[in-house]
Amino acid sequence: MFAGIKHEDSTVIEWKMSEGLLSLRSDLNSRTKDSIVHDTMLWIGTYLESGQSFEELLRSFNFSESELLNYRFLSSKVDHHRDSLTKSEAEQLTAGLLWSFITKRSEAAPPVQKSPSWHHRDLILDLTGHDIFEIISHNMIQLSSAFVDQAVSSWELPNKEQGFLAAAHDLLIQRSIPCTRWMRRAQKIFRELKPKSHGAHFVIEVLLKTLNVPAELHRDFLLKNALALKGWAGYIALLEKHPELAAKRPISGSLAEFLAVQLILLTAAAQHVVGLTEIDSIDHAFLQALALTRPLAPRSRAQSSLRPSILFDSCQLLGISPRNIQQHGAVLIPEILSELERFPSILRQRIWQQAFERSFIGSVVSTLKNHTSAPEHSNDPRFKTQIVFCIDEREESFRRHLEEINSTVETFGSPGFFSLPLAFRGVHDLHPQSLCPAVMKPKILVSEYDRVDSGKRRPNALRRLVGLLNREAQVSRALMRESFISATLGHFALIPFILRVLLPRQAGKIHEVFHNPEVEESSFKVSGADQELSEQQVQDIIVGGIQDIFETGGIAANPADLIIIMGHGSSSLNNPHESAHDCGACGGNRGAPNARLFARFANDPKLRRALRERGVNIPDSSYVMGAYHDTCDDTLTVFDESLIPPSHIERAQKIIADIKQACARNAAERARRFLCHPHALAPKVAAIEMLHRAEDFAQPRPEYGHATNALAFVGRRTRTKGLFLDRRAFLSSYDSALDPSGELLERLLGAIVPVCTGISLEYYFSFVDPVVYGCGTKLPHNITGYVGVMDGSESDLRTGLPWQMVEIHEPVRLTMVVEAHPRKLQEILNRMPKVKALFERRWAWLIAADPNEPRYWLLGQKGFLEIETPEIALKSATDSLSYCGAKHDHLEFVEIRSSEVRNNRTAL
Amino acid sequence: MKISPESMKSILLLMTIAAPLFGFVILTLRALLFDSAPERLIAGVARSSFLISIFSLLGLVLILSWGAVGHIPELTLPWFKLGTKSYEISFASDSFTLSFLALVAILAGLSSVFSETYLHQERGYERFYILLLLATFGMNLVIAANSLSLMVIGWEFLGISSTLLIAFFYTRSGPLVNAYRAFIAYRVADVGFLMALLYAHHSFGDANIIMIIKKFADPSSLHGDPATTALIFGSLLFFAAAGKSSILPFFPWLPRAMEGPTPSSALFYGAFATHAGAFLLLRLSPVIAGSTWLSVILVGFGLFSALFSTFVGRTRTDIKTALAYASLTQVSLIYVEIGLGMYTLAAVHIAGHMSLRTYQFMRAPSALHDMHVREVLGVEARDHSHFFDRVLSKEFQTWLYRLAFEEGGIATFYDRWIVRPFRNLSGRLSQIEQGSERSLERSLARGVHHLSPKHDVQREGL
Repeated sequence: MFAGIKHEDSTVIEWKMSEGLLSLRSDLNSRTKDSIVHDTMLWIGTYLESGQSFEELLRSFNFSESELLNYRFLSSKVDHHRDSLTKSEAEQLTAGLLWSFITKRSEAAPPVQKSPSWHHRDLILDLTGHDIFEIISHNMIQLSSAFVDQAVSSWELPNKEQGFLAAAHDLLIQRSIPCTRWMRRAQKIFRELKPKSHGAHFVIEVLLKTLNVPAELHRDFLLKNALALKGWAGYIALLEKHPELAAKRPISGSLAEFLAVQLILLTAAAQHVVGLTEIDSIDHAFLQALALTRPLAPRSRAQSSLRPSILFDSCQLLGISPRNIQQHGAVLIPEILSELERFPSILRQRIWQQAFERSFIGSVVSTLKNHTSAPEHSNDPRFKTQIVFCIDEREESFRRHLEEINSTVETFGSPGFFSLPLAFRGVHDLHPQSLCPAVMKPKILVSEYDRVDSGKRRPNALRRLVGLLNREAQVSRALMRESFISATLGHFALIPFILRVLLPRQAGKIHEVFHNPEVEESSFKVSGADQELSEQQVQDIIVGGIQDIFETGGIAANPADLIIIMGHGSSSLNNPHESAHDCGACGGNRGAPNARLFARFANDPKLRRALRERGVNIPDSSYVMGAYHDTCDDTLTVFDESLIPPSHIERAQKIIADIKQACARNAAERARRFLCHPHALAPKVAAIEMLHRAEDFAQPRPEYGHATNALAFVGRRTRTKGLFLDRRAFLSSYDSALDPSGELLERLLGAIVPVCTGISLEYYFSFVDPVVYGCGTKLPHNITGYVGVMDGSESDLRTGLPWQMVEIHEPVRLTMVVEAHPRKLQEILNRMPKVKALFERRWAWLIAADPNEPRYWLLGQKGFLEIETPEIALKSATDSLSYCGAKHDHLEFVEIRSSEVRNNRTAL
Repeated sequence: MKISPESMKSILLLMTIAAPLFGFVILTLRALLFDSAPERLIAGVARSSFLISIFSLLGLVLILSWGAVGHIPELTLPWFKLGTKSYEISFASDSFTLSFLALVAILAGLSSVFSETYLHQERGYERFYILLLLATFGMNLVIAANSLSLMVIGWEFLGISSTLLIAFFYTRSGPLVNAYRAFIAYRVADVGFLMALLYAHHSFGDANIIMIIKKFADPSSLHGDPATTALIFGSLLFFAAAGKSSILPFFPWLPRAMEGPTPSSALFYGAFATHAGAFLLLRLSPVIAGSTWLSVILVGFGLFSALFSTFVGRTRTDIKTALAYASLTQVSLIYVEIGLGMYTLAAVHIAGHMSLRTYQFMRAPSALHDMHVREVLGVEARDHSHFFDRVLSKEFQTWLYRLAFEEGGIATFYDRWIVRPFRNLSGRLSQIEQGSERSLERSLARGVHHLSPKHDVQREGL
C-alpha cells in the first residue's frame, strides 16, 4: 500500500509496544509530531486532574488486562510525575494510545470485503489451510523438468516423444511404488479417463465439469492454474511454437497437455484434502456447505492484519491524535479508509512513473534541441572509414570513443543481423542457429565448412583426450567410472580449481589452447532455409539485405574505401543468462556470422553487380570488412584478414589499432558502473579487468548488458554525434531525405521497434518485480535441463533477468525518437498496426523529430503533440572518460567537445 | 625466549586448526558490535584466517620433514576438570590428519576467494563468511580432534553452519523447509554420536580416540565381548556418520539442500558435511575391524545407498541435484571401502572426491558454457537409455524410471511411518498441554483481583 514509504505490519507494532519501544514515525515532521503528542498529554491531563488514575482511565476505555500490561512502565509515572515524562516517553505513550484505539476501532469495524474467491484452491485454502497448488507443485515441476530436459539427465523420461500427457500417464500409473494417497487418486483418474486415447481436451472438459467450473470461467480457471507454475507452463507453450528449441531431445510439447495433467493432479489433491472418496463434483456449493460444518483454519483469520497498521501510519501522517480516534473514530476511520481506497497504490505508482518518464523525456528533448549537429563528413572516400554497428545501446559508448579517437570515422547503426535473416551452422555446431530478430523467420541457411579439414569434423587426438577428461571432470556421475576417476584423478581437479579461482585470465588462456579447435579456412554453403527457395530467390534476399543496410544509413550515396561491418555478442563463463547479453537483433545470439557473411557477400563481384542493377553503386575500390565486438571482455575480432586486398591493408591496420584503443576506453567507461572499482581505471587496466571478468567463473556480473537502456534514436548520426548518451541509447541510422516514400523507415521500424521495446520491457519488468517477472538473485540459481534456471533444488522455472543484470537499471519505458516529420510517421504507423499498438498502449513512448528544424512531437492519445521544453544550455565536457570518472550512477547527457572536434569546427 | 621445536610444532598445529575460529570470532564480534563493514574488510579477515592456516601447516610440515619423520607428537592441552576426571584438548597430528587439514584449508580458502566475487553486493555477505569460517573450524576439529568429546563440538559446528547456509535465502520458503529437513537429519544423527560418546565413557572410561584404538588393539583390556562392544559402538558411530552423509537408512536430504549460494553447496556437499562421517569412521577404523557384522552393515548400507543414488541421480534434470546424487554415490562407496577394510583407498578416495566434487559444484553456474565446449569438441556424454534399451523391456524401464523418479518412495515412506505419526503425537501432546494451560489460566483469572500486578507481569513473562 505504502509504496516506498516506511511501513510496519501489525505484529511488529504489537511487539514494539509490548517491549516499550513503540514511537511515532521517525520521518514525521516535528510540528505534526509535537501537536499530536501535546494534544494527547493535554487530554490525559484533563482526566487525571479529576482524580482518576491512568490505569482507571484506560479501564474506562475498555482496555483489557493484557493491554494494560503494555502501559505498566509508564502508568505510575503518568500518575505521579506527569511533568517529568521525557519527550520520548510522551511520544511512546501517544503512539501506544493511538495504536490501542485504532485496533479497538478496527476490531469493531466490519471485516474487509474480500473479493469473493471462486477458484477451488482459494476455497480449500481458506477451509483447510492446505494449498493444493503447493501439494502438486513437486510432481508438476519434476514432470515438466524431466520432459523438457536437454540431456542433463543421462536417463530420458520414457515415452516423452508421445507428448506430455502420455508420458505423465505412463509414468504415474506405475504400480507398487510407495506413493502418496492423493497420488493414488490421481492414478485412478488417469485410469478412468484414459487420456492417451481421448486426448488432452477431453480430459480438461471432463474435469472442468467434475469441478463444476461455470463455462464463462473456464478460461480464467485454466489461466490461474497455468500461472501457478508460469515458468514451466510458459516454456512448454513456447516449445509448442518453437520445437527447434529442443533440438537435442526432441519433444512435442503442448500447453493443453500440461494443463490436462495439472488438472488431474489438482482434482486428486482437492478430493484428497477435502476428503472425498469418489470422483465426485467438488463444486462451490459443496465446498461452502463443508465450510459451515468445519471450523475455519487459522490462515483465514489473519486476513485483516494490514488494516490497523495502515491506519496507524495514515493517522500519524495526517496528524490525527489518539483523542480524535477515541472520540470520532466511527466517522474518521471509514473516511480515511475510503480515501485510501480511492487513491490506491497502483494509481499512485502510475503517477510517479509518468512523472519520472516525463522528466526523462524532457531531458532527452532538450539535449537534442540544444546540441549543435556535427558537421557532415567529407565526401572523399579516401579520407574516411565507414563502420556499421549494431543499434545496441552498448555500442553507443564504443562508437563515441572511436569517433573521439579518430575523427575520420563515420559510424552507422543498424540492427545487428544486418538485414540477413540467417540460420547459421558453424563447423562445430550440431544444429543451425537462427540469427535474426525473434519476430522474423530465417530465410537463408548458411553452413560453415573447413576447407582445409574438409569432412574431418573431429578435433585431434590430444584435444579429444583433454576434452574427455574435462567431460569426466564436469559431468561424470556414473557409479563405477566416476569412483575410479575420483579416486585416481580427482586430486588433480585442484589444479584447474586453483588456477580458475586465483588466475582466471591465465586459466582461460590455457583452456583456449585445448578447447578452441580453430577452423583453418572457412568456406560457406548458402541455401534457402526453406527447400522451396530457388538460388535466385536466395540471392535476391541477400542483395536486398545489403541494399537495405547501404541505403538506410546513406552509405550508398557516398561510400568510403573501407567499410566495416561490426557484429557483436558476449561471452562469459558464469552466465546461464548469456543469450540476454548477446545481440537482440540476432535473436539473442552472437552476431559474428552476420557481420562476416555480410562482408563476404558484399565483396562478391557477382552480388555487387546485382546491387548495381538495383541502383546501389559501390565502386570496386570499396572494400567491406567484417568484424566482431565482444561486449563483455571488450575485444575485437577481425574476420578474413587474409582476404584484405593489399591496397587496403595499411588503412585497415590503422583503423583496427584505433578500434582496439576504443575498446580499451570503452572498457574504462564500463568499469565505473561496477561497484568493485571505487577509482577510475586507466583504459589499459580496464581492458585487462574486463578480460578477467569474462573468464572468472565466480563472477555473477560479467557485464551489465542492456541495463540502463532508456532511449532509441532513429536518425542521422550527425544529430547525436558528440553527445554523451551514457550507454543508454539505441542508435539506428536513418536519413529521412533519402527516403521520401517512407518505405525504408517502415521496414526499419518493423525490425527495431519489437527488438528495442522487447529489451526495454524485459529490463523494466525484471527490475520492478524481480520476484514475479525477474528471476531474483543469481546465487541460488540451478540450471535445469539446459533450458533455464530454478531457485535452489526445486522451483518454478524462473523467467526474466537476474537481479545482478538489472540492479543498475532505471525503470523507464523506452523513449523512441524518430527523425521524421510527424505526418509521415503517422502514415507509416497507420500501415503497421502492431507497432502502432505498442506506442498507443504505452509500452513505449514515441517522439517525432523534424529532420530540418529543432521541433519535437510526442505521440499521445490524440496523435502527435509538440513538446515545449525550457531553454537550458547543454553542459559540455572535454572527453567521455574524464567526464564519467569513477562515478557510479546515471550521468546527465552532455556534449563532448574534444579538442579535435573543436578544431574541425573552427576549420569549417 | 627460546621455543623448543616441540612447542613450536604444537603452536603451529594449534594455529592451523584454530585460525578459522579466530576469523569467526572477529567477524562475529564485529557484526554484533558495529554497523556494516566494507566487503574488503570481511573478505580480508577470512582470507588471512585461511592463509594463516595454510602457512602454519606448511611451517609444520617443514619442521617435521627436517626432524625425524614419523615421530609426530600429539598436542595436548588441559581443558577442564570434572570431579576427579580431567579433560584435555588433544589433537592428533599424524600424516593422515595433516594432509586432510591441508586439503580442507585449501578448499575452504579457494571457496573464500571465489565468494569474494560471487557474493559481491549480496545481503548476507558477512553472514556467509562467518558461517564459512565456523564450518571450517568445525571440520578441522572433526579431522584432528583426538577425543570424541572434542570432536562432537566440531561436529555440531559443522551441522549448525550447514543448516544456516541452506537457509541462507530465508525470505523464500523452500530453503527454510529444506534447511529444517537437514537439521532434523543432523539432530537425529547426533543422537547416535552422543550415545557413542556416552557408551565410550561408560565402557572404555574415556572418549580419547587413541585410547579407544589401543583398547581395541588389545581386546583383553575391554570389558565384555570385544565383537559385541565393537558392534554396538560402531553402529552408533555409523548411525551418526550416515546422518551427516545423508546416506541410507537416512532420508536423502542432501539433494534438497542445494538452496544456498553455490560456494556453500560446493563446500558442504562436495567436501565437508558429506565426508565428515567417513572421517569419523576412518579415525576409529580398528573398531570397525573388530566386528564382522559391523562390516556387513557398512558394506550393505553403502552398496544399497550407492545403487539407489546412482539410479535416482540419472533421472535428475538439474545440475545441482544431479551432482548431489553423484556425491552421495561416491560417499556411499567410500563407506563400502571402509566396511571392507580398505582404509587407505578410502582416504585417497575421500581426498580425490572432495577436490573433484567441490570443483564440479563451483562450475555448476557455468554448466551451459561447458556444455557448448563439449559439443564443439564432440565429447558430449551419451544417453544411458540406449544401454537400458538393450537389456530391459520398455515396461520395466518405465517402472524403474518411476521408482528412481520418486526416489524409491522414500519420502512417502518416511512421511507416512515416521513424520506423520510423530507430528500427530506431538500435536496430541500440545493439545493436552494447551488444554491444561487454559484451565490453569482460567483458575488464575478467577483469582486475578487477588494478585498484585507484579504477579501478572511474571505470568506474562513465562
